[in-house]
Amino acid sequence: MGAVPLPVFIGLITVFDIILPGPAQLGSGLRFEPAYLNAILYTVFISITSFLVAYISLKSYTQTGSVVLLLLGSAALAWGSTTIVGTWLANFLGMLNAGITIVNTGGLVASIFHVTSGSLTSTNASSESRPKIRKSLSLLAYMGVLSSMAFLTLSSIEGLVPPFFVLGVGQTPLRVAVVGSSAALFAVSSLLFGRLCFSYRSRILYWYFLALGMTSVGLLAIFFGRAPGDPISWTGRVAQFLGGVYFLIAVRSAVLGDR
Amino acid sequence: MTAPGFKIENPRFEQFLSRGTREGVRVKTGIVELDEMLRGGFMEGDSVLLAGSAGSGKTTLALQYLVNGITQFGEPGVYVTFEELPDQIYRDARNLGWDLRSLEEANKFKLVCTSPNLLLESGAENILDEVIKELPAKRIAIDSLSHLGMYVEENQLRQEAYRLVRHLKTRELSSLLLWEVHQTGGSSFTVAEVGLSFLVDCIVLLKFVEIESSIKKALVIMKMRGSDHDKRLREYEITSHGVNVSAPFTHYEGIMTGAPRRSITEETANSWALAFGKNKQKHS
Repeated sequence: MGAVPLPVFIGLITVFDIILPGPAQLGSGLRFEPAYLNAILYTVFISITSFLVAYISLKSYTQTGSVVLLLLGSAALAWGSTTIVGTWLANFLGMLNAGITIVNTGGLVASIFHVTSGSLTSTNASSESRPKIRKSLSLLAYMGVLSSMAFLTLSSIEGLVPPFFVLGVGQTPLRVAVVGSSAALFAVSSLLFGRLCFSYRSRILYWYFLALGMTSVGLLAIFFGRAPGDPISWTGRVAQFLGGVYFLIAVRSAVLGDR
Repeated sequence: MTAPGFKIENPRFEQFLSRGTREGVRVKTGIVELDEMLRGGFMEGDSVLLAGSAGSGKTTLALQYLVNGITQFGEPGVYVTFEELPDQIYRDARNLGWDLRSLEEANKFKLVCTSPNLLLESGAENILDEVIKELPAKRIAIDSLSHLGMYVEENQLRQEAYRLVRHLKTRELSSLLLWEVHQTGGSSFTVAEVGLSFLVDCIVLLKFVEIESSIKKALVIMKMRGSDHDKRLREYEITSHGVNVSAPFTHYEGIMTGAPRRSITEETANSWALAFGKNKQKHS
């Protein structure tokens, strides 16, 4: 049942793309962009759920030393931290370009970590670190992610990063490339974990694979959107929020002792 | 001499008390992790109750305490047994890599095999003092106080134990008193019920715990007068080189109740790890 929304969202994006007029003709009645609601939704459904995944992955990594888990945790931390910083900057401080740059770059970093993690599950290479170095390695990884994200935030605010979004013009080719890559990499990592999930009938992996898939679809919607807050961008946002719910269900399955 | 037992009046005991013993000189066990738990070792001159059920490694730990005292810290020791025959102790110690006969020949160790009633009737002075002076001993292990209980009434046991503890203190010995407790299944037990806990300065408890269908051994310091100590339960093993204390049972709750369980966070992390981590191992 969890997989049903995936084609539904793809269908909705397709339908909206067909029926909606171009950006110039899009009336204000077709746009809904409440700043508070946006920030709260992104914080609750993406940041908090990602932090939860990052925490559980960290605990799991210290137990087993599996680098796959450390990469998953780093991905979730990058995704959660950039989302909370970016959305609040964009919605409350009016730093639209900086906010979008941070969220999209964080998404790319997260997708790279996810793909690497998913690829490791498919190889026979040993990816377990020794117990003595686990704590320091995990600290290094998480601090590395957070400090990189902090550096990205400062660089974006200072205008040191090429623009991702220009008011009145829309998204730049750089954003298209970054978001496109992220969407593709999230899709690939979803398939990698999905393959594993169906091989081993794991509930946790099932929900994780769907969560990555929904995130990928959510990012894909950005390509078709006419303007922020239009039906296509909300379809994409809801897909990402549902992805966050799926991450939460994966964690809940772990709490219940499912595998 | 009072019969049965030892003299109550003892000027050396008063002298010993007036000197003060809690200045912080530590008697190391030589087991690094255990000494860490004890913040450097037992306090000098303290009486330590080592309680545990059969097979928990009390004798091994006591012998290791004495052997390490001799070989690492130059402190001769006496092992008093009411239970095992000397040959059996020599053999078991040799299997753990300790040559007690050589230590005896070097006049650094004495094995005293006696009967509890002899100790009670003639007093510790007669039985032990000669060997203590001869070495001269700094450490002593009594295996075990439980055997005294076979020869005296329950209400007299505390009195006799008190006399023995006091006598060892007057000789400035750091003593390890073994006490056998009964533990059925994974159930809990207490050393307070035997009424000895207040007589001794330190209590080290050894117990079996069932974790994930395996019997593991747990060590905990229940009490240590005048010193901070590690309050966590630690797993230990009896290896071919003696007792090896390892990591604390940080991932489990309720170990002392005899029914330990992982904390919910650890259980969740374990399930998470199994989903992402262990599945990969099936590939290889």
